[in-house]
Amino acid sequence: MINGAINDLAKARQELASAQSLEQLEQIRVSYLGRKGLLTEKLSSIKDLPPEDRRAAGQELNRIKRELEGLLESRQAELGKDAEEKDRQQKIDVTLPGFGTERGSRHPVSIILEEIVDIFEGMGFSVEEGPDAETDYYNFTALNFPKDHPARDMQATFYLESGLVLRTHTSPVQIRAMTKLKPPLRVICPGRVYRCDADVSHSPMFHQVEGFQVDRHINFAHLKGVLMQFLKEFFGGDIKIRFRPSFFPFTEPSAEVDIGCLLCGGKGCSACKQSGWMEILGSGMIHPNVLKNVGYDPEQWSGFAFGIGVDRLAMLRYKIDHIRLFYENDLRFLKQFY
Amino acid sequence: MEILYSWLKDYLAVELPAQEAADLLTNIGLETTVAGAIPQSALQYLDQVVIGRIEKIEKHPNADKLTCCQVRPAPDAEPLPIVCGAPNIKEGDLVPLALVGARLTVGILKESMIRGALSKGMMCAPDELGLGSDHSGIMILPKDAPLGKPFKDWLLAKDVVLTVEPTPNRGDLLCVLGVARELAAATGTKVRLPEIKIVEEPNVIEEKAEVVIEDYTGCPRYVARLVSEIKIGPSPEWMQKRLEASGARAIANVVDITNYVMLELGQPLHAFDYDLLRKEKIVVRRAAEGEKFTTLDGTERTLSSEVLLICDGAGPVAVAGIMGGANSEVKETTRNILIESAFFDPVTIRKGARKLGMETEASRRFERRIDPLGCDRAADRAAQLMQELCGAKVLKGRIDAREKLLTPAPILFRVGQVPRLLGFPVENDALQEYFERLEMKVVRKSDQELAVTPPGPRGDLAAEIDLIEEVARVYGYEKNPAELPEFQMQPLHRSARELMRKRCRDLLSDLGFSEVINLNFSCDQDLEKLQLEKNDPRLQAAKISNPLGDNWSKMRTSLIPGLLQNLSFNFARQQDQVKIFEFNKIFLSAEKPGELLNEREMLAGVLASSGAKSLWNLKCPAGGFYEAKRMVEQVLNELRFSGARIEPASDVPYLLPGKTARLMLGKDRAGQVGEVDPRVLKAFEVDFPAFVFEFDLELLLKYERKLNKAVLPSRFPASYRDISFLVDEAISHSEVVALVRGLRLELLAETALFDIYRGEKLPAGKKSMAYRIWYRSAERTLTDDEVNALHAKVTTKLKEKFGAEIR
Ligand SMILES: [Zn+2]
Repeated sequence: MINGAINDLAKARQELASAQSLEQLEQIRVSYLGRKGLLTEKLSSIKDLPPEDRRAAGQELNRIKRELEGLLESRQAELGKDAEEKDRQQKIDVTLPGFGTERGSRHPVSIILEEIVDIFEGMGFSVEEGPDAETDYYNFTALNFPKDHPARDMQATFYLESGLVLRTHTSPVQIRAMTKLKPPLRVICPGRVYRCDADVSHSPMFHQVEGFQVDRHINFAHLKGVLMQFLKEFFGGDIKIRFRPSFFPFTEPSAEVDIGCLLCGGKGCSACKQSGWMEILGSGMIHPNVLKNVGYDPEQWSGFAFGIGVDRLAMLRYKIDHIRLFYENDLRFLKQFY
Repeated sequence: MEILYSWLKDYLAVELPAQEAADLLTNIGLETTVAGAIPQSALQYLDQVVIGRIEKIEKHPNADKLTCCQVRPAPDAEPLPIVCGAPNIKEGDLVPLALVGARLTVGILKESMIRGALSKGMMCAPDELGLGSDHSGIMILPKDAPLGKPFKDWLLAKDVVLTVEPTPNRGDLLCVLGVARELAAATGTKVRLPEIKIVEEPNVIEEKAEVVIEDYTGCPRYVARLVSEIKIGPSPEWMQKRLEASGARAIANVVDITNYVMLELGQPLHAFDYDLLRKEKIVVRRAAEGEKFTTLDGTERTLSSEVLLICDGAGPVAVAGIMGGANSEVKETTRNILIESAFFDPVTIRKGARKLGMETEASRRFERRIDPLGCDRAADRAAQLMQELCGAKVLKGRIDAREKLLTPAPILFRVGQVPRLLGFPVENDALQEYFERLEMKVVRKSDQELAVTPPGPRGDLAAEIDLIEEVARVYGYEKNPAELPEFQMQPLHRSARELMRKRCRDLLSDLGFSEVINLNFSCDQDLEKLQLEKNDPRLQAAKISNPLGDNWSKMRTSLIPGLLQNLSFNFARQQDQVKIFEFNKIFLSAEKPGELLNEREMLAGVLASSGAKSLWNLKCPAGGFYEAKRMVEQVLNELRFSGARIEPASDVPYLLPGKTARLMLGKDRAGQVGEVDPRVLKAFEVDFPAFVFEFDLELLLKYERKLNKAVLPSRFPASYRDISFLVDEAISHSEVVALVRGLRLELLAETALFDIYRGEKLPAGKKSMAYRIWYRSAERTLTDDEVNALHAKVTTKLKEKFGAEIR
């Protein structure tokens, strides 16, 4: 039996030397040391020997087993190194596309809206929102639009049969916020607004961010300062900015803000009607009548307000010349934005 | 309003190029553009370009598409040989001729041989001169362009049209003189008013006519003049040119003069054929309800008491401030004319015009308020022009009917308000100068207070704040300093709604969904497609009185139709996989009449696939349901609604009843997820299965979200037992989980489903479910015996409760 085992060991030694893979090695291990392996069987037949021989045979067989195990291990280490090296040298086509879920996209207008809100939040403005279907009072009267005045024609209005109007601007939220809160205030009001208008640059629903600040000492210089800061952050520091007088019933003095045309750099082109300037937003000092309408004493408090057309900024940012693209929701268009 | 620049210049005391005038006006608040103005950038190209005349055109000997021309650069100079490729020229044409050495957009011009022919100059297209992008042909100049003169001088002197867009508060800017006043204020000069001289007849108007105002509110002032022996004919060419540039068709001298004076002074006039007035008087009164009258456009109109009428003592002859009547219209045979120059109340005219659905040049100006002090001057101006241009005789004097003159009241102006509201101080002398530039009268009451009286045309100036704006305008918005305000810091009030939107947007877009925004309009047909029950509140959509189209006639009450339309739109554009979501409001009826609508912000999404590029198993359409449900779970997870429940439901009309789940927060239903009924999809022209999810953001915002306490991981390993059993198809996964959880085993860690099997080998109506159930203690490693004992309880309960057959 011992001799048989020594033969086994010699045979195994040869087999191990010629084994070329870890799989072959495992087969060898099983054939000698597995449950029904040659050595295992011999070890288990020790109990059939006469009791006085068992001890010596056991010791010898176990020595052979350990030796075989040692051989297996060292051969395994050698082959393992080869295999590892082979794995390390393996090549894949790294130019194949990445695997997994494709990302989706954010609507370009909502990206720009969020960016505007972020800039103003950074300057300490808080967000307030209001209803889309407003009363005439909040949309017009409280904002100092006189009844039966041509100023009401400035914004083509949708009327609901119930008598409500679809807000033509987010300015009514200014009234709601000032009524609800106490000055000093720094508030922005993002939201959807509606006008009875549809062409290349007008959609009957679009987005606006109204903003205002009321405090004891706010003046027109602050209006300019804050809006210039915003425009520089949004468009970059070297943007040209122009303030010029305009008219909105709820602000006075009122100012239209233009930036130097982004397409022609101010030389004049068809996008800026040869003027070199593009209208960006409307603004002004909150009219004393508006302050009175919400119960603020215009002798104590003053403020500025502004309204930013989000869609227009998105069109400029992404160089889009037709507002329709924002609302027909063509995925081939939308998937570019995130 | 369009104005010929040469007309405007008549009233200016300062010489300005048109573009500079337009810039000054824009900067002082009157948006002005110049048609045909020369871009600043073009000026560098126009030197050494003269006006030349083409004397001869011959074929090029070596090229079919070229011609050899002889072009004379000056009356006494020899023609130059010039090779040209443009097809639009003919002999005798005057053209911009660039001489050798001229700098053009295409480079410096040199003498050259072109296909064997000498060329000593170039005839230019607009783009070569920097005048836009037109390259369709050579610029052909009008016959009166001066031969040999520098092209630049001619171009700069050429008359151009200014387009001014006054804001609605500035009715005074709807006339040439008003624009001139702004320009004078901007330049610190004075306007030159037209000189009015009339030779009057000895007989006085009062003998021939009378004016009675019955409604002083509607008509505070009515001025009339009479002219006689007029000769109707065409107006002179200069007047026709000016009128036509302003968009008023030249008709005949009398009508043209009334239009001309309106455009010049801003006062709408009306000329009545005096001999057609049935009694020699004018009565201003309200129309009777239902009264009929034919205006001079030939339309018979039914009037109401909102309309103000001009009558002749027998009946109406004009709708005051809006349009004259056919019965008193000036015709070729007219000899004597009564000129009306009145001030009508802006609100009265606006209401009347609205009532009649009319807007005329006159009503536009009256609505915006004209100068109540200028009626007499305008009547005189018209009389003067009729005398000068139509040989009319003017009766002595005018009738000026009024209760009292609407003289502007002085406004108290506190000097200290300038630094308070504009942010910089202005000296009192400078303030006074600014106001006087705008033709206001200033009385200094003290160092701190001025009394400022605006001029008649400026009806928009009524309060101190109006004057503050005037100071800012004249000082210049550009010069006004800019600074960031100082303020007391306050905690930033962050909007929970905005944060919730942001998290969901970012999450869903990261998970492969694209955000869409639909217009918040809908229509009955859209809602019908959803198969809603008759009493569904979503059918009570708010109706728009003036929609832009039938399919936009109502407010949205569901986001689903819009999303399904997006789906169909994108499938039609070869997008084989559509995953979209939208945040928008739906508008349900007000809870009580007269209140605001019940506006609810919703988050909804749709996913569908038409092709093989699917990420879920298309062969099992139910896979789409679980993908949609996963989105619901992810959103709830993101927003930390750990207590939300997703339960079977079958009550959504547009979803398949067996493939719908509702989302419950406490007792409120906050949304749903399911497979869209194929009949609904068909109505939206979608041929593939589609799955939707919807959240009611108002409810999500109402519920408090729980930030779970952190749980420390156990230091001891968990053990598991797998169990696989046969049950009735009707037993749901959630029932199994609830049963296991119901045992309240303290050491139970998790119940995880890992397989569901249905197949022919199983008895009908049965399915096999396989779970791995985890057990764990925080204090020690559980022994096999302990785990076996716990697991036996689970097995027993499953058998007992569901009749599960353990496999
Ligand atoms: Zn431009």
